[in-house]
Amino acid sequence: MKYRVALKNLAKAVLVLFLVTFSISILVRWLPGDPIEILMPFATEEGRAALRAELGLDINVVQYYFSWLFDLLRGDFGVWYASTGDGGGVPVRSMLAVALPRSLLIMLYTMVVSIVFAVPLGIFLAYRAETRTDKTISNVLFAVSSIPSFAIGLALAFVVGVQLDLLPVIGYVPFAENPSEHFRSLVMPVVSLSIGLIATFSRLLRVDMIATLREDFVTMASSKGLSNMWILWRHVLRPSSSTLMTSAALQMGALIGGAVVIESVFALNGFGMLLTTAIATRQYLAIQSLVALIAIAYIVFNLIVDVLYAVVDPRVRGGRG
Amino acid sequence: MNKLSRGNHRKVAFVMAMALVASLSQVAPAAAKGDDIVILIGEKDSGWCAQDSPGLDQISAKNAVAETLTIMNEKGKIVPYLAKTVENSADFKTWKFTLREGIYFHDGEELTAATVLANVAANLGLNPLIPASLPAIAWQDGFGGVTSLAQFAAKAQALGKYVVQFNLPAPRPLFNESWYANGRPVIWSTKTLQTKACGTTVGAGTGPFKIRSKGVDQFQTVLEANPNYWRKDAAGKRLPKAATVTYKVVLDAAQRTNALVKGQADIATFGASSGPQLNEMKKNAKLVLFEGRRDTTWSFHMNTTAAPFNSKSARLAFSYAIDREALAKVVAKGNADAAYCFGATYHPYNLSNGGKKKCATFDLAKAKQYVAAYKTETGKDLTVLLPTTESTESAKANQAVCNMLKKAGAACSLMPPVTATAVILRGFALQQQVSWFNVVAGYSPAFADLFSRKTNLELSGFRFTNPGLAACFQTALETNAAAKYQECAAVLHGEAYWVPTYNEGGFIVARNTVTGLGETPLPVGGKRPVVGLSGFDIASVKVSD
Repeated sequence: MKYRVALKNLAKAVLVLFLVTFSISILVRWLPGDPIEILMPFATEEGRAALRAELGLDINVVQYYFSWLFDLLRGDFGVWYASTGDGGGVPVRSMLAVALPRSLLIMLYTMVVSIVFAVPLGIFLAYRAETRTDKTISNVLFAVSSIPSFAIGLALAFVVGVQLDLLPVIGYVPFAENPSEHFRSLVMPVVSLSIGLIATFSRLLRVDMIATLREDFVTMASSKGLSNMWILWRHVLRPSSSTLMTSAALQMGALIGGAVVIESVFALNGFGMLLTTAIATRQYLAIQSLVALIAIAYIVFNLIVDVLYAVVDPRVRGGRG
Repeated sequence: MNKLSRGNHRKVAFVMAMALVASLSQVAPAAAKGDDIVILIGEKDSGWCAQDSPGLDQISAKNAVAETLTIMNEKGKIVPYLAKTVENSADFKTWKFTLREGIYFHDGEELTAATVLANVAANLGLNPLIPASLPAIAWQDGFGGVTSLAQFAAKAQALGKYVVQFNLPAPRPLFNESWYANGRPVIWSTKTLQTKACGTTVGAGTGPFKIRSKGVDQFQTVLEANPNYWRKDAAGKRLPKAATVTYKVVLDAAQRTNALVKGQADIATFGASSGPQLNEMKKNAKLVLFEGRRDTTWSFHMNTTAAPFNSKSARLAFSYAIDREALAKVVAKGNADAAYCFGATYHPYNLSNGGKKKCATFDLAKAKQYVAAYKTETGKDLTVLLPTTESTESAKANQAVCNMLKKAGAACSLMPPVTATAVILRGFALQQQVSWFNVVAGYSPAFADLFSRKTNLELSGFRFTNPGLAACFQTALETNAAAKYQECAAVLHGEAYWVPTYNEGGFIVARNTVTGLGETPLPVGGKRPVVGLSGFDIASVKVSD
């Protein structure tokens, strides 16, 4: 039974992956402008023809798609073309090796920080629901969640980086190079991205927890003399986490390619910057491969969340969810 | 159980808090001192080879690696550089470049006439591995439209190991200046020209620095000292003075400023449109600001092959709508001058009669009239789409122009940002209506000439729709006659093919620990300008401890 469910989920994931990547194959062809003109504006006719063939523009989209997919499955993410065309570019895999770890780490740290702060805050607000404290903090969170992360980033860079001289304002230091500087280089980007998420996550959790607090089992637990903290953390939090987890999974996928503004502000130059540059310069193969990676990330994170649902909520584990 | 759990939480929280405080209490890392220089620029790397056309920031980096046959000195004059002497016949058809002996590329090859010929051929599009340089047709045209190596060989010969002679079919009084072209046509080693990775990940030039890493990370280029560099400092000592130079791309001007103020970088480059940051940095005693001569005109070049700017009414509406004083004031905050003509008063394209006359004017009423005229002609509203590069300055300046067009009754919005190279080279492919270029600069018309006549440069669109004007500039080029240039420039203005906006000099800002900027002597005497049309001379730059 379990295997059947797992297989079903896997089949769904493969189908989603296929639909996303195939759609991208079609969509990139709709981008305005001839990619050959953009990639090799002064090439000879032979050079253009060679690049056209390399990009699969001389075959139909289905053939092109399966050719690309075959390469991807062999670990070939394509080439980032230089204006010399085929043979002069940089393998996308090499560029990913620089950009992807940065984005994954930023995503990971952002999620950890966001959840570590959002969960206690959400619990507190649920516990103090409809009090003046709850209303004040909820309104503040609402306001905070509407501030764009880049504005927070620039403000932090000026105050914390320049005025207080506490943290570097640009650049990324790999962990292996210097662990301390690695974390310092990412504090401000992560805080910039986390503030909005903390506000969102805590508000989501607050609402779900308020609903759970109205359940009979909470009254039962309270009448048994369990402390409020115990009830909130051990009995109410877990069944109230599903919306938070779903939202977190979606945000994790979004953060990989979507932190582009923060990457730009702090000169981190991760996956998001790579993707936007690929789109701007019509790097067809790179766009296709990068979008496929984002799709895979979404699917993997959602699968993880599906598993976590069962871990945190016994009703789901028992098939009653 | 509950208490124990809480206790553990407290311990964990305490340890985390201590770690955080310890981490924050460290002083932020400064730029490496002494031998290693960190330079912040606002333009991504998108290739340095012949066919690529980077903007000024990347040109500056490229010229640290590869050099040109001639170069501009601090007085704005083009002088021999890799060439020891440049001689021409009285009719400007025969040009002889005698190279300096004993100059070696980073891969060990000696600079010879054969290498120069291979590079010139590559610029003309005669290297099968490398597409022609920008703007190829203009380069080819200088040689009478050569399209094969055989044709080229008849017009360019090596007269010895170090002497190259060009026999041109038509007079080219500024041929020597074309081989500076604001730092573009550099000389690469033969091996570099034999790989398609030329200028992307590899490139051996003769410059003070050689490539350590480039291309895989488009946001960072690392160079290391060339131990065999041919120039010496004023005391005759070996150059370069620094061991490494790291060019980091930081697109946000405010962050370039922050990083410089904080000491995370030694030098940063800025355009005049970073006015607020520049004014702030002028007050900082730790920083030294260098400004180039304000003789580079940023002009909109109209794509006259497509709507809306195939209409003269649309072009004139655009030209009249731009409040140049406001643009210089609002965007550049005093760090640029309003430009009504092309170039400074000493540029041959400038029609100001020594500054007494305005060539283009801001007139909102007339702009509105021409917007209405466009509607009458076409039945459509004038809708403008401005291309932007990825820098914050670009977005800000273009937005200011958009706001001015809106005041005149036109609709205006910004295109998604692309690289500076894409704006320059891919205009038609990206369906751009206009492009904001800075080709009129300095004293010489040589660089602007590449764009104002027969050329494949996209968005110098008038060449397709007004061949008479292209021919006018061709005659001006062949005669180098000031009157002819004035005649052609008058049509540029009258038809609003190019629309001047503001003049700037470009800025570099260095920490006061940086020494040697603009100090390296040129081999023929004099120096390069501290801020020139191809960036700055990096050879003598060092950071004191």
